[in-house]
Amino acid sequence: MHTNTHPLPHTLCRKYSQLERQVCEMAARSLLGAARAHRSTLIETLKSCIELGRNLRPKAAETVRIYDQCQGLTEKMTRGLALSEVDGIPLASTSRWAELSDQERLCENFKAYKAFSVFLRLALKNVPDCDASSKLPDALVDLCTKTESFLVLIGQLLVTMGLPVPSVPVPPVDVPRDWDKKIWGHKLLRELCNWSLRSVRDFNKLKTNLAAGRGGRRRDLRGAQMR
Amino acid sequence: MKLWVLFEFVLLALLSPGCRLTNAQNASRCGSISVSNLVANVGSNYNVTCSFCRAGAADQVQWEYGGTLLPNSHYTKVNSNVSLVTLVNLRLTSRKGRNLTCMSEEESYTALIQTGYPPDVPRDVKCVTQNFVKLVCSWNPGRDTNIETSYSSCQESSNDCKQVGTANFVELDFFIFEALILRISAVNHLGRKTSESFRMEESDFVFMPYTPELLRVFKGPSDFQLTVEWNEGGAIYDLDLNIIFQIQVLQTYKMQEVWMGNYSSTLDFTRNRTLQLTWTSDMPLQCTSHSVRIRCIGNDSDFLFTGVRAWSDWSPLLTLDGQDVSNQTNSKVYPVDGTVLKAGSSLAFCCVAEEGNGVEELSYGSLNLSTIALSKRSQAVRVQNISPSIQSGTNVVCVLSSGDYIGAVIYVGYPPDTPGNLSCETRDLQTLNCTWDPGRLTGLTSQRSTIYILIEGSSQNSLPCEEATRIYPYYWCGFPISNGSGIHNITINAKNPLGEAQSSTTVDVTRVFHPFAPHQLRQEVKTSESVTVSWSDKVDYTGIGLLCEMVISGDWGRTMSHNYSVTGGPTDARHTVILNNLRANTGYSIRARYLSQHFWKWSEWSNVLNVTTEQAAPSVSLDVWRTIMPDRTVTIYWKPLSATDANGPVLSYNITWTKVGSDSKSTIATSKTSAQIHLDRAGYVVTVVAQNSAGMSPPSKIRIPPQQDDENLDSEKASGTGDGFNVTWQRHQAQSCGYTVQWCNFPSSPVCNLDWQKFPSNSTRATIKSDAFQTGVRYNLDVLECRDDGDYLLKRQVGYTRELAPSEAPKLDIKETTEDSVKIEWNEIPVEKRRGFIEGFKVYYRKLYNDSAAIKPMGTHWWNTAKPKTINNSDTRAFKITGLESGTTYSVAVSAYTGGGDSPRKAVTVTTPNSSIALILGITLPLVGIIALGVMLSIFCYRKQEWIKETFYPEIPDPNNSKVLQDGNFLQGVNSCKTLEPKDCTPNKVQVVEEKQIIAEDVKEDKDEDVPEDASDMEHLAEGVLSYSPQRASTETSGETNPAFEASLPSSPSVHPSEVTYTILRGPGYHQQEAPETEPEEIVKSGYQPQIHAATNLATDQEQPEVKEITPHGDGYQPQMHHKSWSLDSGDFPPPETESIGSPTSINSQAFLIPEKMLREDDGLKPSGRGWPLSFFNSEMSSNSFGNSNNS
Repeated sequence: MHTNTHPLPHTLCRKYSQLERQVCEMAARSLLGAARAHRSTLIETLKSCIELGRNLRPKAAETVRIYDQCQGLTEKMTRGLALSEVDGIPLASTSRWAELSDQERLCENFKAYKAFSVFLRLALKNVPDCDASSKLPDALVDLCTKTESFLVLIGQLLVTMGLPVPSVPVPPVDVPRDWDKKIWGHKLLRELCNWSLRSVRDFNKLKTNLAAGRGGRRRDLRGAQMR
Repeated sequence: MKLWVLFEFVLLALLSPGCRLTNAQNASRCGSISVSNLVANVGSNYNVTCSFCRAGAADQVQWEYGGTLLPNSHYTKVNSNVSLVTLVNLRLTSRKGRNLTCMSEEESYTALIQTGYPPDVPRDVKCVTQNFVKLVCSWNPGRDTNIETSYSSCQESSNDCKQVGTANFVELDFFIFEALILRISAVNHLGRKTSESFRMEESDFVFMPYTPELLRVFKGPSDFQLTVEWNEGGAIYDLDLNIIFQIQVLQTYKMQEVWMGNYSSTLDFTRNRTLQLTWTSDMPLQCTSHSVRIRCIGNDSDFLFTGVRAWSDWSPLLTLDGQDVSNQTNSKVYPVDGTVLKAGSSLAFCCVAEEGNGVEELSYGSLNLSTIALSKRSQAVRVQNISPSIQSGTNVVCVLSSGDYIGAVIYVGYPPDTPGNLSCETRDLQTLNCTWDPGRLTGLTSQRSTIYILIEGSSQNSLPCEEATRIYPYYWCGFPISNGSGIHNITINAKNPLGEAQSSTTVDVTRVFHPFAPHQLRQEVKTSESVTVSWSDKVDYTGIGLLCEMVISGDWGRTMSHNYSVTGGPTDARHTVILNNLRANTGYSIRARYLSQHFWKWSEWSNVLNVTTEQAAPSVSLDVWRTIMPDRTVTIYWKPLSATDANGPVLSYNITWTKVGSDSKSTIATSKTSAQIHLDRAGYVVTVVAQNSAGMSPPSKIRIPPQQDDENLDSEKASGTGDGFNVTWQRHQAQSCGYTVQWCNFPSSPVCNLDWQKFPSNSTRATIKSDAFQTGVRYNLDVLECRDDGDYLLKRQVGYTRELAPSEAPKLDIKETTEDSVKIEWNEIPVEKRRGFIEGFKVYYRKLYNDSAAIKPMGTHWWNTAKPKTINNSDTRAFKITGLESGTTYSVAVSAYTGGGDSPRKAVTVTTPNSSIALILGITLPLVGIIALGVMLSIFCYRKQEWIKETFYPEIPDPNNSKVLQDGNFLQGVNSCKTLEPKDCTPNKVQVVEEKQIIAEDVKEDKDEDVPEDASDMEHLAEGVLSYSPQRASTETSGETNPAFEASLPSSPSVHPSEVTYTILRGPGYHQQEAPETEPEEIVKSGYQPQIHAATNLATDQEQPEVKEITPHGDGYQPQMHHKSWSLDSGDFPPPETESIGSPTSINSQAFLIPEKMLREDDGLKPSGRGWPLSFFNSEMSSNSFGNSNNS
């Protein structure tokens, strides 16, 4: 099948303006082409993402532990903490996980890890010198690297699939008080832990979808368009 | 109320018979009440009339008292228009009184009635001054009169009375230097009372200052500080009084005092000053509201006022609201986030919830503390002796009722210590470096850590030392100095959020110059004796006077130090020095350091320069010696040169020998330290030189004398000194050229390792020492004298540096043993085991045991306690020990002893032979004794033979005559003993006598056949334990049959074919058995066998079927039921010879063995009559025996 004659890009991109449509159609065509040509590459990248997510989770959990130790936070103090809007930390939980399209799934992951990569640098700045847990800065840097790896991989996936890489404005975080800084850092790491789990599931889902074939993917893309 | 009044009047009417009724004024005119304003005593009675103007109004009158209508029984009609009411026992009215009203239809008149008490006597007069101008004297008026009471006070001094009015105090001018005498009168409608005269001195007056005026209460400067402002009020007083103000702080919610403090002040009466006091709380003031009040008291000395001082009244409270009463919308933790607090104090942390919320939980770090409820919205935790936080601060976390978390991070630490050990120095004369000890760690980090600022006094330049690196354990900060000299005042200021501290010092730069180490020390030129070294300065020290110390360490460990004065130069200039007087071919380590001229501090050491000087020819001649063998083989020895003498490695030794009187020379070269040459009989001169790369050593000469016969010299003992020998000798020739002592360092080894020591010609004694000497080793020392033509042996000595005990025991041998002596001999100890000169021997011996005594326990080292016989002769090899006991075993040991102690011992055991007389006596005496006893016994038996025969073996046994059976104790004995006494066996003997011949034959036959195997069974029978003799020895007797049984019992079928049963009845504890003929052995052994044997036998014994009919009666145990024993068909039995059928035991027996008496005693055995039917007898016996068996 010749890509230029395929009706899918046109169907997908008809709501955009002329220029955008051209870009969109190009992306869609690219996606279709890539899907055929680089199907194995996609699967490999997805596998890398899953591997990275699996690797990230224990690291993040361990970092939460040493972070709490360094900051003198006890389980009693952090037990009742809940994320709020003002924290600016992307939430891993979602009520419509199953309904997400592949693109949405990828974009949410991308946005999340973008925010994490910025926030982790911020958290690293706020970390005091802890005699009790001198490994903390290293652990945070390690997490930074992993989230950035995620960004690269997801970006690669998006490009391979011919999807636009979203631009993510990371909201500024205003935590003037020391206590809020401590707690924010804790929430950040905890949520990163949750995200690593979600990502593993997300990428598994993507892999399943990819394996289900082109038709399934097309339906997803169409679904995303309609939504 | 009405009911109450009614009740009151009824009650009063009942009580009134004795009351005095007082008439009030009679009504005089119409339209009036008899009293308009009545003041009466409580409890008094009154009549009041009411005159109406209208006639007949008295019939319709109604009286009302205190708003209550009086019952008509209380009033009476005086006439048509006058009514009389009687008030009985008036009660206390209110201060205003009560209205009494008479009412008719048209008229109404009211009178006011007040009741009260007459005044009490005024008492307890007290005079108080507030300003030393006026005196207010008050008194106790006593009981409240309820009516207006007026007082007047009269001063006795002035006789001036003053109406006071109703107040119970009077204001007077302040009295001074004079007593105040006061009399108080109280008067009211009901009476008048005058007090006694009160006399008061100044000391009785009370000074109570005015209540201070609290102006303001506010929080500050910190959240923990509460500042109180009040008006000193000096203007009220005309004096400069000293006043103590007391401030009380309370927690408003609980009205609980949290602090009380005093403030002393001397008033300035010219003005009203505002005073301020700051109280530091241990809890942030936002936590809860605090209220403050103040009072004061005079504090002047007694010179000013001798009276009593009293506290003023408390001022009204002023409250500083906490956040728990404000309508704030944010819950908060106090102290607020980021607060820095000082460790060690006791502090409280609180959580204030927003309006409508509450505090659920509050925690401080990981401490488990209980919360204190401050108010509905505020809770606190108190931390005692608060410890420094971790770097990230301590978390104070509050859980609100709403479930929200709020928190704050608190940093607890210490204020900085004063920088200690502040010291400054310069190294490059351009920067002044100061170091100090920061003291205790503050526990605060990042922006809360201590900031150090270096302030230079003269220029007031301050240099922040934040970047000041920390060189543990000190801090360091550099400060540029422009001119490299001058005096600087340096101050180090330490500051953190908790405080500030500083420390200063004055520095003269030239005096604190600490130069850098000499730079790049290197070698320039070297010879065998000197080295030229050079170095430069690390920084530009041009013109600076420096002291340089150079330390040279030689290889051999000696260290030299040289000091040089140096003027510093630019960095590219080099300083040079020559180090002289060095040794050739020696390694030296050279290093240098600087010191400033003011001796402030040594610099570090420079790099180490390692130099080895050039080689030189050996500086000394060799120490040479020789040995001459009889075959003129001469070995030349020399001692290698020490490194310091060799001046370089020796390459070879050249040996040259020249025959005396000849010019012929022979030379060899070697690298060893000895050389062997073969010479002829002539005298020779041998020269040895050492050669290295730089040259040859001075030659050493030794003369070899012409051959001559050996002179045999005896060895003398050399005296050891512990680590060597003292050797003495005597000059042999006047013209000696010296003496040499030679010895072998290892005499016992084949390599002798010859060593020698030379002494000058004038010496006659020497102490020889060598590291090779060992104690307990025999050394031979030869002293040789140097003569013109060579060295000659002068003396031979042998000795030990220190003698030790011999390491081996002499080998002991017993040579000769007699009854009282032992001769011993021993061998010589080998020389190498002697380890000293043998001085003698010690002989030890000790008795081990003899024939009569048991072995005495003896340790392995018994000689440690034994006293030896000492032989003070080293040549003795034998010793005779005398005075020993015959037939006794001795342990003998010998040890050799030297100056070093005793050798070990090896013991030998020896037994002396017995004496012949003792042997003879030992055999003959017991023999004689036995013979004598036998003779005496024979005589006795002969004399008493009749009696013995009667007693022991009469011709015809007569039980009645038997002493044994007549003994009343016999049966008892049987009953009590399961085993019969030997005398109880008498019946057996009786039986034996009767069948004597047969038994004797049987025994004889059996003895021929078998030898008893089991002696115990024989004894068993002999003692009569066995109760039963089988009638017939079975022909079926197997090989298992006990020979003992057969031997002892008369039951040979050949001799005694008839079945004869002998039964002896024993006590109830014993039951005789019939032995089954096939198993006699078992019966013999057990003595008791239940009849079950019979049953087993029955199966095999088929030839007696009639017996089977009987056997079922014997269930398990059937004594006397043996089919053979009780067979009626045994017609071969001889008839009974006696009629004693009463004995249950022997129906087939010829004789009854048990006397009648015994049978009578035992009812169970007694027959019920003569001539029993046999079957009955059988069954009876069965049961009897069974019963007895049970009894047993």
